[in-house]
Amino acid sequence: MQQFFYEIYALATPINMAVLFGSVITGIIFGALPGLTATLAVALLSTVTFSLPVELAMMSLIGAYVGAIYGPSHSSILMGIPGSAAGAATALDGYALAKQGRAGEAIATATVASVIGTVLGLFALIAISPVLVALALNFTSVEFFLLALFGVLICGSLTAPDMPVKGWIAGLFGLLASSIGIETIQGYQRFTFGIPELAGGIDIVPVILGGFAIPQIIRVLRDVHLGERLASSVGSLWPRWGLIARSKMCIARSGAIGVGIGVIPGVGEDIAAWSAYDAAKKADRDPESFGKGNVTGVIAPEVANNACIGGAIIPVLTLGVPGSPPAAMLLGALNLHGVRPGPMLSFEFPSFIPQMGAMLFWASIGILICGLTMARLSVLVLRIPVAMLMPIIAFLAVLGSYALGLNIFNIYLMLGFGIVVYFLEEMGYPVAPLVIGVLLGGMADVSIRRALLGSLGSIEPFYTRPLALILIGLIILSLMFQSDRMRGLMERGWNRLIQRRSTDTGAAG
Amino acid sequence: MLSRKSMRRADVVASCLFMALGGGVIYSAWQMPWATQRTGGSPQWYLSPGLFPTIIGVLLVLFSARVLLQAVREGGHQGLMPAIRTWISGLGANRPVHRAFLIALLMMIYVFLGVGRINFHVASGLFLFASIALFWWPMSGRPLAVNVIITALVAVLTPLVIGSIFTRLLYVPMP
Repeated sequence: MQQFFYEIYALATPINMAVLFGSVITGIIFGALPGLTATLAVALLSTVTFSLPVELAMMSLIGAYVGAIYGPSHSSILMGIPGSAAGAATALDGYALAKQGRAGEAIATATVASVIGTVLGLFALIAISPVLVALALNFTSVEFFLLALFGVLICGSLTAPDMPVKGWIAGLFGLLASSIGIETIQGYQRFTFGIPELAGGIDIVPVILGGFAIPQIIRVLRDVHLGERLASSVGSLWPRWGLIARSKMCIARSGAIGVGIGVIPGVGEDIAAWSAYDAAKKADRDPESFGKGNVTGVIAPEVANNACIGGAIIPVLTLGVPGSPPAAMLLGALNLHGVRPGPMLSFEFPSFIPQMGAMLFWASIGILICGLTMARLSVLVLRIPVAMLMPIIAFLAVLGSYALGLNIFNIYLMLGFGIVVYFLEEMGYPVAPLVIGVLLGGMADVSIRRALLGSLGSIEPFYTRPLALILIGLIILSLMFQSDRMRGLMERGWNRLIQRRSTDTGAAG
Repeated sequence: MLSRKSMRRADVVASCLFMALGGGVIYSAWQMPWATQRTGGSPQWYLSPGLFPTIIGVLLVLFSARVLLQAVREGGHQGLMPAIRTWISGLGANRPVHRAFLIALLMMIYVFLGVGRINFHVASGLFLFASIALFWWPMSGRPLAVNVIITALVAVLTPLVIGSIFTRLLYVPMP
């Protein structure tokens, strides 16, 4: 904790602050504009900041990440259309408030809630990371293989819009893509089909840019947009401090939900926001008021989606497993800068985790200042036609794919991958487990072979090691998501938990 | 995303393709060396480069079979050929598909025929101009001359400004 406070002071240099605030503003714009996402913001900025020192690059990426998760609240409130999925829950009550002439109040409350959520997330990062590091130091290749498998399966289970098994298939595609190239143990070329550019394997940045940018560009330009229903004025930018103070329980609950969901590999801020909104509605004394301008309906999702950021970074730094799609890009960026996330990070870079916490702190200050300042500017920014923006994003995706390896093949890969993902998403196969599969495939491949080498081909360590048994239990749980009965059981349990807590506390928030 | 009925029809086709892909992966994996002997003694199959792809291939076949089963249960296989024929015959009037195909085609032309073959700024400018003209002009509500000027400015300035940031500040050359 001491190191954290020291890092807050040490990071406060003019260049760091300039980069941070610039990135926060970029992130807010990316988050606010429909069609652009936090993952895209972090992916594009990681190519721009590639040649910068690690500290400055991370400052920029964290600033963009936090800004892009907060940014959708502006479009959700002013237009009723979330800039990205993370702000979808906020639109229900936020836009209703804007129609009542309280857009400024809603934006200010969302801003304060986002700051609180980010701070809760960073304290969770600092508190939980050492515990996970201590646990992960006991991991052997057996546990790392099972962890990679669990990450892909749980992400597939929770992000598949149709059947969970489609999420698992998407994850398998990612694992398959990761096995392309010269494998590390015997140097054998797999699935290169004589193409020399594939010998080095698939780069993560073209995969992420292709997977998240190209399908979105095609979808946005394919669908006819209704005319924007922009709120005409923002009004007073003063939050409801009294209500925020009375919503302590709601804020704590939403923060816990955000951190908890963030830690689960591949599941993102949008699910955290909806879960927190749902929980706040069930716990409220007047659930019928949700969707009609209940300020708690803005506070809960905004706290959760920003708390999710800290939660998502925890497994990135401690296990090398991304907690959300933007965190996956963060993981890729760390690897590009030669920082190896995982249990050894605390030994190789002892101040890295407190430093990330300090960056999140400064980013929360950034969204407080920039978010409120930009509230009136957002009305102008949101008028930029997406039909003009999307081709620019395509241009940035091409340049970003090329910038990292100076390899034109990466551009071909990015576009080809993107078009395939577009068709997969149309058929209900989600992209997040696919990206997680590409990221974790290398670890899974090497780990299972090392594990079997250590046991001379026996699978005994998989069922005798306690940590391995826990992970197998978690894998079985994620496989059981297939069953409607299991999902119904979990939903009933969750509803009972929320309603019991609201009876115990006796008041909403 | 497709409607449920259309999705089940697509699932029948896609899951068969994925099962074939899984089979192909298993076949390719079996062609890889399995009898590695790094320390002498018995073959160490578990070090084979084919082990991980085999696991992926088997799981792909199993999971795709699950999707196929669900699709058949919901009647995805019924009327599959007539549905495909109807979709193909209706393509001429399907404006969303036209738009999706058009932007994909523009990006493919830009990437495969433009980047690396002609000056990057020119290729990018042409791509931006064509894309914005085709997708923004019909709904801009402005006179054509104004649209042309705005589009030309965006198409020229965007590659210039962003390209300059990459080349002068980040020392990244253009493709």
